[in-house]
Amino acid sequence: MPRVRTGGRPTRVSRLAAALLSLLVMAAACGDSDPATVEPATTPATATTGAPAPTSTSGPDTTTPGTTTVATTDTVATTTTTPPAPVIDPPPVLREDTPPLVEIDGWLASDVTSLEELRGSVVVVEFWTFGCYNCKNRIPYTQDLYAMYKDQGLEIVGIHSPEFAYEREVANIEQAMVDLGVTWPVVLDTDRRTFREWQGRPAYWPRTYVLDRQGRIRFDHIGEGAYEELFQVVDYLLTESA
Amino acid sequence: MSLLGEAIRAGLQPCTYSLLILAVVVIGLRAQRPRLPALGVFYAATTLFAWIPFIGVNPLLDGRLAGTIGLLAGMLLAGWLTHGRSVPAWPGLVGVALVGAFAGATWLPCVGRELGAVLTAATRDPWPGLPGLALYLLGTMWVTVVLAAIADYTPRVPRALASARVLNGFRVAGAIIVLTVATDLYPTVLSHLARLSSL
Repeated sequence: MPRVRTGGRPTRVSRLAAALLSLLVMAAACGDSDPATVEPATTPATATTGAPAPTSTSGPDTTTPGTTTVATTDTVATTTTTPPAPVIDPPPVLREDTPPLVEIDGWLASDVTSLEELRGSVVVVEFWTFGCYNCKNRIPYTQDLYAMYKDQGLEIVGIHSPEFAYEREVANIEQAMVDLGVTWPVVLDTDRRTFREWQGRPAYWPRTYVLDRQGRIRFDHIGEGAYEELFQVVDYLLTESA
Repeated sequence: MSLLGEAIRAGLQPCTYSLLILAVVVIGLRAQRPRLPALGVFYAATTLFAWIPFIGVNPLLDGRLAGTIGLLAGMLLAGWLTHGRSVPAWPGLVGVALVGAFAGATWLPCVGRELGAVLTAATRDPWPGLPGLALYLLGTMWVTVVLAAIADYTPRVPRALASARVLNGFRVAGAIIVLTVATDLYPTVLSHLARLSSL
């Protein structure tokens, strides 16, 4: 005979409601005001190098779903008065070699045609697809990173692994690169073979790796965030064996 | 933003609807049985199956054939044919667990900052990542918890939910979900839901 709940006990309902409300209030209290705008790349840049901080003119637009305000790649140099840079531990070697680019369909905005040609440089590899909200949220930070460290030899490679049919069209990708301000080389991973080769299961968009000058993976992050750590790792690797 | 705060926000985003809909349907199929404990079983199975890929275990249920069989078995055990009335408690909960496992194995999250950190940590060392993932999923399911609590504790609601019309609605919804899995439409639906999200 199944148990039948007939309700009619308002005190239990009240207690339950109070508990749920408390949980929500606690969670809200733990949060900050706007995650998309409070963690620009200023902290890591100044903290690790004392170099000018990149200042995106706009962060990702969190008010309109599906759209992102494109940050310009212009940066404004500011004189930093931040404390001395903290010394970070050497980023661990997460993988000794660079996974291959598997059956890719070419490169966009690139003079190189393989990751091997970039050996000797610090390379940020970012898996993305242009319709992905979280990928678009990362772009302003990647732009700042590129603007700050490009002259020091940083290379960025975006691996475009489409999810939907319209994202497979090269013309759409090129247009999205213009619209989103993606100025770094992009690999066309149309059938997502490289996506699976690098990530295995489960695989995510976006996912960011940093390769050192020997092609070893020294940084790996899924999704948005970890911008401070990313800047620190890039800064460290650029100076590690320069 | 805290992990729980991000999860609570995600609980209202379309990328969480797959968990929400599956939980509501399978719990709804249980007719007049208590819903909150069943939701706990669903949640535990979801968490476990969202996490086990990080220890190198293929959850299988994210595949088309295994997913269809698993989901169908789960729905049947939970009370699809019998409206939960004549299903003994434990097989019914096993059905709920199967559907929860399917939900976890196929979950396509919004990877915000906090969840991104948890997932990244889990790729390096899975076990410490489990509590974080469990906390996140708990936060995402707050809407379901509220609905289950209302269903269990509000006067007259349990009886209304056990009416033939409502139960048939749950049965149809369950059938539609199984059909989308069998026809391989389900991953596409999940992808679209993720794209509609803005977390």
